[in-house]
Amino acid sequence: MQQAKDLKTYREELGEAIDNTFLHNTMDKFARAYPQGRENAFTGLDPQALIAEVVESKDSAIGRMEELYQEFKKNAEAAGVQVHLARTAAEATDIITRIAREEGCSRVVKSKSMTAEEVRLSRHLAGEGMDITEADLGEWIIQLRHEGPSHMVLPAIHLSRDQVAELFSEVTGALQSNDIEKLVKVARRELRVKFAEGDMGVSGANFCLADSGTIGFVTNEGNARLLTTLPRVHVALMGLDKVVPNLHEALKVLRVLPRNATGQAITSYVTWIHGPVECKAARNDRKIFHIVFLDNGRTTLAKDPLFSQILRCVRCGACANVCPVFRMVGGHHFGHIYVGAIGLIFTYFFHGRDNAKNLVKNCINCQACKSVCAAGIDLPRLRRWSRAFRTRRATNWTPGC
Amino acid sequence: MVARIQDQEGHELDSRLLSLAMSNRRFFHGLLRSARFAQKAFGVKTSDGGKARFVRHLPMLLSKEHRFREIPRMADTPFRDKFPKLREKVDHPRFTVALFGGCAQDFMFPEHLEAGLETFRGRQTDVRYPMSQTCCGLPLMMMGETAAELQTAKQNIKAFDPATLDNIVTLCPSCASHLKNYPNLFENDPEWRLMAERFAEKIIDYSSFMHDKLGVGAEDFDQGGPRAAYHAPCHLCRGLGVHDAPRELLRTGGYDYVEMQEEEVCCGFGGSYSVKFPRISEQILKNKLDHIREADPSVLVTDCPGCVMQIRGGLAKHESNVRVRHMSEALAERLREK
Repeated sequence: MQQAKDLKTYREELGEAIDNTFLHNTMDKFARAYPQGRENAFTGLDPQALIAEVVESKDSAIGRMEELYQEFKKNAEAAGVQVHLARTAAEATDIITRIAREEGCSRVVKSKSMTAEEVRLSRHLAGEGMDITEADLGEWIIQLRHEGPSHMVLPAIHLSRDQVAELFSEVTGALQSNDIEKLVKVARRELRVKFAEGDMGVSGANFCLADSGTIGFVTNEGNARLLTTLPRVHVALMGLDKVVPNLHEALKVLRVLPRNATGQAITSYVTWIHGPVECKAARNDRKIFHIVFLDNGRTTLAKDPLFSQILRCVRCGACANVCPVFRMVGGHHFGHIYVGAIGLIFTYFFHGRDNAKNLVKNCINCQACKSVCAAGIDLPRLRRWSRAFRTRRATNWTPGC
Repeated sequence: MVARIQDQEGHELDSRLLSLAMSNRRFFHGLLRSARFAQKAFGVKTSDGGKARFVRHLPMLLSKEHRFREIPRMADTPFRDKFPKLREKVDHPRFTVALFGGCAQDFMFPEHLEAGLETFRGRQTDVRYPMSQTCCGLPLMMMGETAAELQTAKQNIKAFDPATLDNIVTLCPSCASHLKNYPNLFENDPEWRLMAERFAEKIIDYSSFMHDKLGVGAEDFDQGGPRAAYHAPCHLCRGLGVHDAPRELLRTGGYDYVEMQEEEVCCGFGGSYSVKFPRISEQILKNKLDHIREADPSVLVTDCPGCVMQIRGGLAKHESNVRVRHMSEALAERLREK
């Protein structure tokens, strides 16, 4: 999390990151492997054409965000879901805390969600005395290290296996080898208990289908599927920008997202949830299911002729993967909470001018981010400025936390 | 975003000074001209048989962190002063073009433009150099100085008459990609937007002009040349989407082109970026130099004066023998005598 007060302090922090050889080697290995992985995943396809479809689809959905939200709400409620709209980050955390209180939940299991990071949900719930466990392997690692994610998709990309082995040895009180398979087993063993004991599961969502009130998410570890199944309460938190008209439009994003993020044709799991399912742990054998939408300025952004395009972002993290600066300093120095090129812009809108003012200078303008963006966002241009904003200032902004 | 924060929190001094200086072309060019006298105090050192000239002692102004590369000297005579004598008289031109020089090549590397003219010579290309052209405005945009940026854009649009030109050729892809972007600056100003569009559609980079327009062939160059690696400038490969033309030109030009790793990854220059964040710039450059070392060419060719400055400066610091050339120089060196 970058929060240096001035450019001089920021430069000093960058210097420390550059001197960190572990970080350097880890990031370098990833940066070299990614382009080939992405290219392989798109073999036989035309990535620019697929991206153009995402652009068209998302732009159309952003243009009628309010209407789609209402449609989603109607259909989800008809299926038995309680749908909430949080205007600000604070409202979102309040709503989720209230749900937990009302349902008597104290053990929370959470999957990876950038929206939850945006509102600092875990910190908030912990502050309310709840026992919260990050169930994604990378997120769990950084939770144990008391860090924020250094990448939107790969939150612990800044760490080497040796560092993780050391951490796990500390946590389990037994010496762990640096063998990745074995480390995964340790996490599995430790986390299984949390899934079984948890009384509330918190997930994000990659898609919300308006025509049916269904949410969908992509994961590789299956943790989100487990924590939306076992605990008796499920709360899903996502930005308003995640509403799309129907499955057909969602699949346009799904064709690009995993390919662009991790070079996978598709993730290990793609989960769709429509209404509360049967759950023996819940009263009346039916899961309590809440969906919380976060606005946090998105409605205002959606109306802007230029900046509305940042709402197309599908959180694939590719803009960080190809960024030569990110590669040298890592995500903790290249974003406040949101990381990468899009992170520089999101920070300004969601986490304030003070946190953004140094970050936005740290762009070498090589345009690599723009060339791979899954949603065709003109990141370098937006970072710099726009005529539209200059002549017509965006006001009535609701800052995040 | 940068501009917005600047407007809200007050503009920084360096950014304000730059904006002030660039708002008036005569004043700005006067500053660049006087820099060559000022640098005399810092001495000169050369490498590559005098082709590469650097400032010997870096000004104290630059901290230790800036010493990862040598800094080139300003040219004794800017290109604009040499042009009238260099211009070839063409009676029946196939192409009528204007050169957009850009600050770096006009005042620091005029040899890039001179070499460009040499490669146009005898190819029925009538070249002009409008003297009222100024900085493309990219540094101003990077710093969020939008008012001055618009002013320079208008000055350049007025300097060229697209109706009389087949192309506006620039040997600096950063300038080219920014000039191509001019219409976006005038989104709410239909009159200037039209002029900006007419201007922008004529902009072409040097390699594309040589390859796609002049269509030079192997018969134009001495074959059997040295081993050459290529660095693709960001604003050429991504900014303008040009990938094949420069590599094919190298082969056409008789070079033994050897592919190196991460050719299309940034060299770490980024204009004022490398001054603002020298340690990151140094690290990015280090990767580039490692790749060059591994490919082991005798010449590294690129299409951008900024990349030449960064890579040549870095190689010189490591006392490497690899020569660094702009594509125009690389081709001019292998022109076949007619």
